[in-house]
Amino acid sequence: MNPKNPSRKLLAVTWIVLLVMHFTILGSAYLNLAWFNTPFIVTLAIIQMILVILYFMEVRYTAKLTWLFICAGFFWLLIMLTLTMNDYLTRTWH
Amino acid sequence: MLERHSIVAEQFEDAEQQSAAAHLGMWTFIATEVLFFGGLFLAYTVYRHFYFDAFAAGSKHTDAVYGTINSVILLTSSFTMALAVQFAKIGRAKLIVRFLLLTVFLGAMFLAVKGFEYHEDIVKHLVPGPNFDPSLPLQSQIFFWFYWIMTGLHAVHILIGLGVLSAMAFLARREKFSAQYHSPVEITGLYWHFVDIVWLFLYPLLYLVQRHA
Repeated sequence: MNPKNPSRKLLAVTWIVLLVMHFTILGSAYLNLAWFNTPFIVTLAIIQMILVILYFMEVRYTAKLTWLFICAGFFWLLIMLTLTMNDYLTRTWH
Repeated sequence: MLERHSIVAEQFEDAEQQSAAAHLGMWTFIATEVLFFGGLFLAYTVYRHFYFDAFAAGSKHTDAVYGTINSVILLTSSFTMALAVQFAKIGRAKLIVRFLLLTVFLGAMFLAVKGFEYHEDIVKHLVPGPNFDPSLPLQSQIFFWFYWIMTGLHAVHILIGLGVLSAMAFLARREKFSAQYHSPVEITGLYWHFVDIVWLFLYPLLYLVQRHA
């Protein structure tokens, strides 16, 4: 197997970890973690996304230029979310 | 036919550069898709902030069992897609076809489960409008607009993916791919995994809001 590829074993491990995380998300939704429920679930979903990108989409083994394009896409998303929510979340401040 | 595909197009120096360009192009497309779905996630976040209780009430009326089954199906389909790509890289035509068709089957299963779920949602009057379930807060209709639009657009992406995956399986069956030329399978994989990623966020945000209360 080309060292620039994830092995089939690594892909299988990634799949199992993703499923375990999925059921952790499901279980945690039924626990009362007060304000922490949503941050916990979203953090796990982000970790799942990173695992899919790194191993299933093989970005870990790809060119740095591709990394730049991927980061740019998410950076623009971050700008959109941050600036917009910055407005809505602070409207009631006095 | 294989030879024709094996030839590196004249604007590229070698096959590796050609493949890198294809990947970069696909990632540029995915970046636009991130912003496309990002706009919807942003609008969802704003309205959820204003009408949290109505969103929680709406979310509890979605069927988490269907959502959970579909998540497992989609994560598994991403795994089979990743295996198809690995076999494409070593030119194993039969295994490429097998895993692509398995991915198509899982994608079709996802849509079938979604179909049953949509039917149940309609019967339970969860479509915004004059027949909307009167026991729910008025603003829960906003939640269900997001539910229908976001899952609907995601389902359209799955449907497109199934078409492309089927085409790839057909081409693989005719031995159009080899260890030297398999970029189309890889690019299709990137699209399929992206659709999976969108679902990873749709699932908790639509099905699991305030489930513990």
